[in-house]
Amino acid sequence: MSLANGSAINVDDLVVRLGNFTIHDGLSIQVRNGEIISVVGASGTGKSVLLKTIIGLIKPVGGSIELFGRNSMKLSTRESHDLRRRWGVLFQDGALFGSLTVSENIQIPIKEHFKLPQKTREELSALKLSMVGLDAEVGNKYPSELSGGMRKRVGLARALALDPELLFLDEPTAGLDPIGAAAFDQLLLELQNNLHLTVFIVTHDLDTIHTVSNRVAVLGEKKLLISGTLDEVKSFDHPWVREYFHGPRSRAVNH
Amino acid sequence: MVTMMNGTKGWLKVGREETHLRITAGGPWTIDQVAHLQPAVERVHVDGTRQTEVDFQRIERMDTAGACLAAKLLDRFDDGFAYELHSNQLVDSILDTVTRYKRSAAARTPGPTALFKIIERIGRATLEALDLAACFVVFIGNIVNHLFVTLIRPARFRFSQTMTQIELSGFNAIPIISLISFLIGIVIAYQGALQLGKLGAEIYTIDLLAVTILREMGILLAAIVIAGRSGSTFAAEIGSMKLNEELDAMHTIGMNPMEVLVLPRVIGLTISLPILTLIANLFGIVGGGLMVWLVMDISPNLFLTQFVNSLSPWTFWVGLMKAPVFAAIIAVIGCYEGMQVSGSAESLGAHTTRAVVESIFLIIVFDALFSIFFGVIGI
Repeated sequence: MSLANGSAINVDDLVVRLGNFTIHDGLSIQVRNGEIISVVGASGTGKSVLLKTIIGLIKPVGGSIELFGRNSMKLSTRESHDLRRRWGVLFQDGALFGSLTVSENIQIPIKEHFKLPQKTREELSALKLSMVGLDAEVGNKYPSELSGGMRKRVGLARALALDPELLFLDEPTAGLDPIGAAAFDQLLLELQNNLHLTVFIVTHDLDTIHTVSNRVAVLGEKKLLISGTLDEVKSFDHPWVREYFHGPRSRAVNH
Repeated sequence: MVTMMNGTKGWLKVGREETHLRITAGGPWTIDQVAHLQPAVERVHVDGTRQTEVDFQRIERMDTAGACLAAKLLDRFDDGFAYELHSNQLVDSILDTVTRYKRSAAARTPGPTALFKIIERIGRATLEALDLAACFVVFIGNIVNHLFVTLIRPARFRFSQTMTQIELSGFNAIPIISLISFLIGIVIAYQGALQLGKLGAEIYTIDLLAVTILREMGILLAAIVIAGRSGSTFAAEIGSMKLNEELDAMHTIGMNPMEVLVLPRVIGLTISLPILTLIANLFGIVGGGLMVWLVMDISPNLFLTQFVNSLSPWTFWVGLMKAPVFAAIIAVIGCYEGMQVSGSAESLGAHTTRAVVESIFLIIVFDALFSIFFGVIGI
């Protein structure tokens, strides 16, 4: 990998406005190759907006976004199409295509980018399904027949379909029971370890932050408040950060 | 990742010395290489081999797709004879991951054959149709039930919701319905004048206009526009509420969706469609009258006299009487289809379409039935 020591994502001085409302004003954040970074922040601080801006769904007003060392806003159509092969995105509720079966959902990115025989695609989708801990039979079902946790796993399988280097997860454990959430964390760690992923997680889940992330970034006041290891962030002096990491529900990160 | 761009290809070489098979692979084994590596893997013959040596050391990069293929290659040697595998750390780790998961990803059962699928679909469609008819009857019964409850206890009647529905599906539809019937009035008058003129009976254009608009066109136009406009809205509104579990939430709070959502829509539309029919009638006649005035030079005064003379006492009421029936058809079907939505956005779309198609179909059917009925009783 040519960028082994560089940063996978480099956001500089980002300004995002939705309507008349400024969400981010001069936000800068770096994600290093091979790390798992958790982005936290109070509701409405624009965590999901940041994710969507980085993957190009929201157009920023100012600033620059570099992905794999290239300014993602200055790519040709062709280049940005190719860029999409190198990342995978898991949306909050999976965002699976309701008219396709689970197996077809996972095959979609493969179909879009490569010409492979049906049988190979089927094999790959079965492999990805088993990687996210689902039975092969699930492949024949439709998303509406699955539980929320299963939909998330299928969403992850689809995000992994092209072996991305960079994985974006939007609240991966929200709505899962603690056991399911813990299993998801373990799954993520294992996949990250085996596939050498860089992972960008937007989350509220203190357990996830504690278990999987190498670094934590805290958003607030339209900027990045602080980023660093969990210990560094915990000792940062800011009312919200203190409340978050030392509040009544923060046992997980303090033991 | 640079190599991906400069087009280096993954490769597989097979060498054979009598019973000794030697397989070497190298380059990137990634998903973009699978298309041309796969045939090479499939071409490897293992028959009659005693000893196999596999060398993966020169593979530069491997992703799960490549590893899947490599695992498939290795699987071929698994039955019976041993093989010797040399590989590098990179390949080892990914191959290990993939083989571990591959074991649990046992082949899934093949789907049914095409013929079986067709039979299954026919059976399913039949059951669904029966189910639909039964549910629909229950639904109508439910509405009537709630209607009576409302009559007995008017306090439960959702007055403001009903008024909102009258505004949304009635008042807001006035411009489009006025315009359409105005134009249709022009068309009927013009065509009538042309055809009747051949007989020298131009004056009867007015009779034609009066009967067509008042008995049939006014109500049909209004009903069809409302079916497209409000029937689809009802289905989509209630359907998306159902997808969003809002209907379940209502139940738990103790609100009955029938009472809160369905009744106001049914009653609202039953009130607004007759009014819309009146407006359609008015504009249709104005349009026709205008055309008659321009083409045949019949003054508004003469038009009115002839118009009133041509009317039998029932003509006006025959058209208007159908309005509440058509309104009930549109509202009930729209709400019913909305309630049937389940699962996905696709289902929402399908049921919205069905709401419109079914209600227009039933409107035409009922219009025909009404014609026969009025013919029999002679009005």
